Amino acid sequence: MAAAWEAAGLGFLGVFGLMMLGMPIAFAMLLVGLAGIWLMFGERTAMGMIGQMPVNSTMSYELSVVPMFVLMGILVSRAGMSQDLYRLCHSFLGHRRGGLAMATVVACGGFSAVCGSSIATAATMGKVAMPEMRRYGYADSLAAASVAAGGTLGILIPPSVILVLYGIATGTDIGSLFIAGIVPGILAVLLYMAAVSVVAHISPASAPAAPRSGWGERLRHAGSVGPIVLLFILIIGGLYLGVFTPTEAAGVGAGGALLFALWRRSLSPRAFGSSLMETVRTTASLFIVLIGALVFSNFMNLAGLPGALSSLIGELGLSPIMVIFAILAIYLILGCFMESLSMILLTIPIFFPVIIAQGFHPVWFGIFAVMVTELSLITPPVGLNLFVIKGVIKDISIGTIYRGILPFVVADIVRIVLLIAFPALALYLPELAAR
Amino acid sequence: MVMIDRLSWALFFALACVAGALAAIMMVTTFSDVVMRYFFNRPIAGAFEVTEISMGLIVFFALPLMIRERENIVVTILYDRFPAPVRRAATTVTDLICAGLCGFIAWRMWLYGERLLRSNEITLELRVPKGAVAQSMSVLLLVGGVAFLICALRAFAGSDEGPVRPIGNQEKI
Repeated sequence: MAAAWEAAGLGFLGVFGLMMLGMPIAFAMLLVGLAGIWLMFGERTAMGMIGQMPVNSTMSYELSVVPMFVLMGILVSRAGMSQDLYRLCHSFLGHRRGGLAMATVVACGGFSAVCGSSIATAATMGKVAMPEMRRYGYADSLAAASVAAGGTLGILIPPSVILVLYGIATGTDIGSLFIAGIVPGILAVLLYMAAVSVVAHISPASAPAAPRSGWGERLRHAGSVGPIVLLFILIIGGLYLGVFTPTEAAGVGAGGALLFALWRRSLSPRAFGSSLMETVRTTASLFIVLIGALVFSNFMNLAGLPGALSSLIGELGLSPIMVIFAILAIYLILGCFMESLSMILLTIPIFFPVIIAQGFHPVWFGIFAVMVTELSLITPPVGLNLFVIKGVIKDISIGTIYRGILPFVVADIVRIVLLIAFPALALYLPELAAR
Repeated sequence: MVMIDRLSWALFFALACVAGALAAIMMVTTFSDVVMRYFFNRPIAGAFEVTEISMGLIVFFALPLMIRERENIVVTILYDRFPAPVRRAATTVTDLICAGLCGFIAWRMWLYGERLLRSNEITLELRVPKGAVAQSMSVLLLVGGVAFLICALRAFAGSDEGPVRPIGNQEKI
C-alpha cells in the first residue's frame, strides 16, 4: 500500500515537474509512465507494453469518431455557419432585455452541436457575437462572460471529443455518453439564459433591448441554418435509435458537412485540403496525449493506486457523495493550470474504478466529469475560456471578464448540484434509447 | 542548417498530406458504407478495416509536422514566466528528451512489428499484414523524433521561441 502511494506521488510529481518546464504533456506522461513501470516491474513488462500500446491503441475503429467530427466542425465553421446561427438567435431573442447575450448562449449551444470543443466554440462565437453586442451597447463584462460560458457547452453537447476519449479510456459506450449529454446541455443553456436575465434585471443599462425582427428576417436566417440542424438531428437521431454506431454517425456528419459546404459554395479544393490538414494535425496532437495517458494510467494501475484510494476512502468512512465532492474539489484545483483534455485523461483512470466501486454509473460520471471541467474552464483566475475571449477581443481587460463571469459560475454550480441530486438528468435518455 | 530545416519541413508536410488523404479516404469510406448499407443493403467489404488502419496511420503520418509546428498540448502557466534564456534552455532540453523518447519507442514498435510479421498476423478481410502497419508507424515515429531534434536545434540557436501559444492548438479542436 505504501509503495502505491509512493509511486503515485513520485509519478504525479514527475509529470507536473516536466509539464512546468514546458514539455508536451503527452511526452511527460509517456516518460514517467514508462520509467515507473520499468523501475517497479522490470524491463520485460515495460518493453512489452511500450511496443504494443501505440500501435494497438491508435488502430481503433471507435477512435475514428474524433477526426471525422473534428473535420465536420472545421467544414461547418468555414461555411460561415457561426454568423448565420448567431443572426438567427438574434432575430428571435434580440428584442428582449439581455436578449443578445441570451442569443449568444443559444448560438453557442447550437454551434456545440457540430463542434466538439469548448475553446473552438468560444473562439468562433466570440468573433461573431462580441462586435454585435458591443454595437447595441451591452456591457463588455456581460458580453464576454456570455461567450466564455456559452463556449463551455462545446464539450457537453454532442459530438464531444472529450466524451469520446473518456469512453475509450474507460470502456463506456460512446453513443450513450453522447445521448446523455443532451439534457444537461439544454439545461445549461436555460440556466445561462437565466443568469443573463438576472444580470439584465439588476443592471438594465448593461443589456439594452435591440429592435424586434420581423418574421421574414427570422425565416430567412432559419433557412440558411436549416440544413445543419437537420444534419444534427440525423446524427443524434441515428445514434439514439441505434441506427448508427458513433463512427458511422461521425462519417455521416463529416460527409454531410462537406455536402453542405459545397452547396453553400464556400469550399474551394484548396480550402478542403487545408481543412484536412488542420484535422490530422489536431488529431495527432490529441491522440499522442491519449497514448501518453494510457501508458501513465497503466503505471498507476499496476502500482495499485485505485485500490489504495478505495481503501483510504473506506478507512476515512467517506460516503459516496463526499467522494464526489472531493473529486469536484480536485478538478477545480487542477483546472487552474491544466486544459480540460489532459486533465480528464490524467485523472479518469485513477478515479474511475473508485467511483464505480462507490456505485455510480459510468455514463453519469462521464457527464459529471465533463461538467466539472467546464466549470474549471470559466472559473477565475485561470479559466482557459476567459483567456480565449481575451485573445479574440484584444481591447478587453481580463478583470472585466472576471467581473461578468460570476453569475455563470453560479449557474454551473447549480447545474452540478442538480446532476448530483437527480442522476436521471443524464441517465434517462440513454436508458430510454437502450429499450 | 537553414537548408536542413527547409528540406525537413517539406518532408514533414508531405507526410502530413498523406495523413490528410487518409482522412478523406476514411470519411468517404464510412459515409458510403452507411449509404450503401441502409439504402442498398450492400455494405462495403472491408470498410471497417480501412477505417481502423487509416486511423492508426493518420496519427503517425501527421505527427512530424505537428511536432515541428509545436502543436503539442503544453502547459505554459509557469513556463511563460521564465526569463528568455531559461525558456530556451528548458525547451532545448525537453525537446531532446522527447526526441530520445520517440526514438526509443520507435525501436520497440519496430520489434513488435517484427513479431507480428513472424507470427503472420493479418487482418481478417483485407489480409493486410499487421506487422507492416506497425513498422510503418515505427518509422514515422522515428521521423517525429527527428522533428523534435530539429526543434531542439532551433531552440538552442534561438530561432524558435518554443511553445509560445498558451494553449497549443486547442482553438482548433
